[in-house]
Amino acid sequence: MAESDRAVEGAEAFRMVRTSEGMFDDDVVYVSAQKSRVRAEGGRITVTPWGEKEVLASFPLEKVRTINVFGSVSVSSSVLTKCRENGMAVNYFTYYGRYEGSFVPVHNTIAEVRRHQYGCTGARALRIARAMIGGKIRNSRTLLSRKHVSPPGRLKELEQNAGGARDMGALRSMEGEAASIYFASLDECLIEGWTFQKRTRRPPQDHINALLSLTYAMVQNEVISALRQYNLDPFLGVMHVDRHGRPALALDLLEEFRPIFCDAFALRLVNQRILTHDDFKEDNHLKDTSFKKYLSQYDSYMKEEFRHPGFKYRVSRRRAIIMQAILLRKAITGEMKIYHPLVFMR
Amino acid sequence: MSVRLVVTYDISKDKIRNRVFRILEGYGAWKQYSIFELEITDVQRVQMEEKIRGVIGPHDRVRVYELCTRCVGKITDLGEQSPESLSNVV
Repeated sequence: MAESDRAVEGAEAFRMVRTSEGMFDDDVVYVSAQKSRVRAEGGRITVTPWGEKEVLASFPLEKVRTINVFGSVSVSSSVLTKCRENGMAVNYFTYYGRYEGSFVPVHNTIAEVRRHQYGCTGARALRIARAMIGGKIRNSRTLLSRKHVSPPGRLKELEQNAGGARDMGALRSMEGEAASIYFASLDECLIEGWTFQKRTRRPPQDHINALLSLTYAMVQNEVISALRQYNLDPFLGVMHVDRHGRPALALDLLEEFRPIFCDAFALRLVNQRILTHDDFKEDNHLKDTSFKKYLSQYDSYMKEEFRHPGFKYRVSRRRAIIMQAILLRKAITGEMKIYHPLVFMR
Repeated sequence: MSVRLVVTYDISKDKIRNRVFRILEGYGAWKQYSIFELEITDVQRVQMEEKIRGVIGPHDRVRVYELCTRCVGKITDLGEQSPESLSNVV
């Protein structure tokens, strides 16, 4: 057989298993298909059902930075090898979206940053925490007023007081009071058929609380990975006390995003009727198909761009989180005097 | 900053052709026999070109076309359409 004939035949056989593909212009992949395997084959990351050959999806390896897997999805060691080579991370979530842990390749841990971070206590930590809580309260007010609910005057007082808090204890109690006032107003932001009584967790006791918890977990993971990218230890906080297994620094940085990214997203899903009560199962978790819908909505929400209030250029929400991690790092290492939270004035 | 590239190749040896294919599928979308479309950064482009240089032989040909934004918008499919984009949610 002539060389060229064989080439055609080989290509023909190949054509059977693969069709023309679309462009992949992302760096995050979400795998929620149950009983599936994620593998690295050739130059691609492929997802196949267990024990089957047919490929559900495949992604160009060099472009993927993060793989998020949900529930019973197995990630092969070939993928982990590629992670080490490419600096890619795998985040594991439960089927219901609770963050369980990550595979992070060993490269780039900078001792210098860690040293500063471990030394970031007392007055310096307080200064950063004040800015974070002030930013959070400001963003709570902004969210309420965007929803045409006039924020209680006490919130503004608390925002101003936060800036002068004497110690962490005082700051925490201001934060607590602000949160309860804010959540009391959140009910007014919902459309008919939905009510918000109070914030409940572990487990969330109604659909809206379940949605909030899920979204906090999703954004918390973005924060953790942003901190990791800049070599900060997500488990050593400035305000949240470090406790076994609690990502204290990520929780600190999450505060300012809670109202303006997380709550706003949950409200959008409900108010635009993207998710309804029918999307939930008896145990307040989302149904399988609804969870997939949630993930793709969440992903496009994080990719949506806005004009950054501080830097005045357009960035995606996901990018904004990374930028805050950079600013936090500068505040922790003393490169910048104060921490500038992401604050929306209106 | 990323660029859209079209990469075509003419390689007679199966082994080498498969290697080039493996490299290219790591960066972008396989469109037709011997044709890939990639949307990659300048850094990735350098890496990709270097990898290809490393595997091809003296008589092999690989050609890279760069598409401007205007050109990308003017791509036309005759016959079966090629999918536009690939979802990142499975």
